[in-house]
Amino acid sequence: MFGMRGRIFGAKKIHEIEEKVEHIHEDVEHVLRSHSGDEELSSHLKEIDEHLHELIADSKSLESGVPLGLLSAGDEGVVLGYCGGRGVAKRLLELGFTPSSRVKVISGSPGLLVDVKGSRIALGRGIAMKILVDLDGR
Amino acid sequence: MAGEKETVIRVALIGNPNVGKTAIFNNLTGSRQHVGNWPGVTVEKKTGRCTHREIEMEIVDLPGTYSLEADAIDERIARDYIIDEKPDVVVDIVDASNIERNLYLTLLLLELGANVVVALNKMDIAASKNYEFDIEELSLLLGVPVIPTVATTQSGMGELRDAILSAAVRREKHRKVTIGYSDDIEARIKEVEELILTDTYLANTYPPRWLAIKLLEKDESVMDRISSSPKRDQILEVTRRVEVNADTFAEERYRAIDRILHASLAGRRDHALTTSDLLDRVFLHKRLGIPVFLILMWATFQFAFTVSEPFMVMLERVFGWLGGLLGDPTTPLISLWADGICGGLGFVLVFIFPIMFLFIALAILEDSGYLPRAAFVMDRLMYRIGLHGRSFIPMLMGFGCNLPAIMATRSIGDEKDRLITILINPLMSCGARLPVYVLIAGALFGTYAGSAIFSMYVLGIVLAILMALLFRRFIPGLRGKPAPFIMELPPYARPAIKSVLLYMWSRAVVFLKKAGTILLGGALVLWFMASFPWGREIESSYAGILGHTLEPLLAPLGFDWMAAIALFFGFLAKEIVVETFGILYGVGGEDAITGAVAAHMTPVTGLAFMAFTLIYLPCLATLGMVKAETGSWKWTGFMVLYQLVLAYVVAGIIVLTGNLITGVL
Repeated sequence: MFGMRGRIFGAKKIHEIEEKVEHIHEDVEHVLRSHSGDEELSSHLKEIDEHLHELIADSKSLESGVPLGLLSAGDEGVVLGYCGGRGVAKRLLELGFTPSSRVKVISGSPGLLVDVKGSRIALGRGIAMKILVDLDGR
Repeated sequence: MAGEKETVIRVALIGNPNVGKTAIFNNLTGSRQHVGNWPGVTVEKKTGRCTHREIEMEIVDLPGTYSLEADAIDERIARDYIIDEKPDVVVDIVDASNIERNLYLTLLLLELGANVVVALNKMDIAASKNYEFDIEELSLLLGVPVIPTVATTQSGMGELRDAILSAAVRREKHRKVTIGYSDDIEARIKEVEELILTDTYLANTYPPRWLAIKLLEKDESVMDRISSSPKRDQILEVTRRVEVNADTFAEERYRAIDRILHASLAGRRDHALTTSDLLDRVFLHKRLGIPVFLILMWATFQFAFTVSEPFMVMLERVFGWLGGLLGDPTTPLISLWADGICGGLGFVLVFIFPIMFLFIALAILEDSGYLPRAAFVMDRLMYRIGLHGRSFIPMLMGFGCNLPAIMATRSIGDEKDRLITILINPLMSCGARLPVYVLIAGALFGTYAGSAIFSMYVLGIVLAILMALLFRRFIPGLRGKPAPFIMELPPYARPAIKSVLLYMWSRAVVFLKKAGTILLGGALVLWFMASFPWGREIESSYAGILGHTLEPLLAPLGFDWMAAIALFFGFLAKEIVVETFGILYGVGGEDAITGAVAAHMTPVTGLAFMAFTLIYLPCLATLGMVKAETGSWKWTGFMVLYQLVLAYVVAGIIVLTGNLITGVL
């Protein structure tokens, strides 16, 4: 339930995030070793460690994603997540662009007309480039 | 009901844009309103009454909205009404043919603890998509009554009224939770909710569970609402501690919708192409989109002005004949009739026809669903000049009348985008300025009159673009980029004749009211000033005195005293500019005025005068609307100032270069 699939990432490069996560992972291991007697602490730390690894897995799936704006009419994909500010992400979520929902491009360029959850949403090119999707068959 | 005070049930209508909310409102109240398709058309607060089974209902039509996040004005109005006014029943109108997305708002309303009745509208379209609803199951899962309706054929309206009445009667204090989140999140909601319950004011004012969810969603306006609570710090502390990724809520709501529809709807197919989609492949095409748009716009204006021309000529002749009925204007009374009423007001009334036909064309484009597409097609160009695609619709409407155009800017979510759109809107040459161009260009430019008029429209557009760029760049409060374009496109539909005619008529009434009040008043004042002291030459009449006082200001542009008065009174309404010439030249009928104009102006000053009329000030009514919509005297004042300066500069440039060219030739 708490999977980190398709969370919002900023402009930060994914490999940078990965490096940082790796550092934190090492720190956690270190603390675990030196406080091996404390049950509560170690269970908390293990949980954090798990989340971090999910985060890396998700970063990788995001990395494999394609900006929706690059698709053309007839293409289909699955929403992975967005880059960009809170306001825009909120709007997209309300309109049904939730992670793992299917989108189909009805008409392409300069903006896109897409089908999501049965409704037709027109997206300017700028915003379409900020939505990452996983193409079918990849 | 003996002994009981007669109560009025307060009902609010809410729903996504384009669900047929206005149609249901009209069906319930029987009031006459326009059924529109572009977002924002129902943004005015409309209320109506209806009596059903001898019980009185007051119905409020809330703006169309996708959520209750309070980011855009429309959403804020809707949400604050439900939270603060606490209507007895909230009718949520759901588009059955687009139900998945529509139920999102329903879930938000249930969370808010509203006493919801769902009107499942557009059942006919849903049926054509082979949707089969299990209404009972849907109603059970949502925990509220669900009434299938088809607003366009009025079907289901009786049942809806009944459902509203019975919902109002058995209003429960606390609705049981029907749509839950995952256990993990529910636990966090519970924790915050329990803390909220310790503050009796908060717990009694807002539904505690809703407040807890909104706090976890980091909703800023809700943060404001708890700011005065003594428990504030504690609440915020707990909210931070149990932190939930705010987007999880949206995801889980859609997951809940999926579960509900799985059990209550059969026949749903994913991604089936509709006729609308095929049309959109043409209308939104990369290369065809803009040419198709331009052709449609050209056809709109062509239709409005060529079709109306014979009607205009006919009405003009009627007024000419009426004016001559009493003989030569030798006494004040006959002069009032011939020069004031028939020559002034009558001359302006003729323009009712282009206004009617223009709005028929615009209503057809709007109701067919094309206008939001036009906004989308134009978004890229609008973005380049620093505006949002949605600004395009108000700009287009500005060609008809700036007043409704400025009202239509409410659908622009971003405040800066909206303010810029309002500031440059009066540069879109409205229908009221057309008579001025027709008169002056007709008198001075002969066969080139059409081109001269067209050049004014182009001039307005060019100036609007320049101003938009300047404002974005140099006014601190307006810097930034336009908001990204995200807009739902409703399916294409056949416009209903009744709705188109109602829309046209509502615009025509605006003009006729203007004619009956401000234009008639203007005509009387002008006639009086031009004719008195009685028997004197017009040069030494009151109008002459005023004109000669103003003349030095405008003399550098080559405008004489008559033009000065025309512009002075033109501030009341631009049609008065023409009315003034009609009265001052003391003649009825266009041909004679034409000669008089040619005697008073050169082509260069004529062009400058047209440009000045275009730019110098919006009419009084529009300015009032600008004040109302911006809520600021500062911006209204700024608009007056920049337009006066711009008008003077542009007219000056025309005169200078014009004289240079004609001097050389």
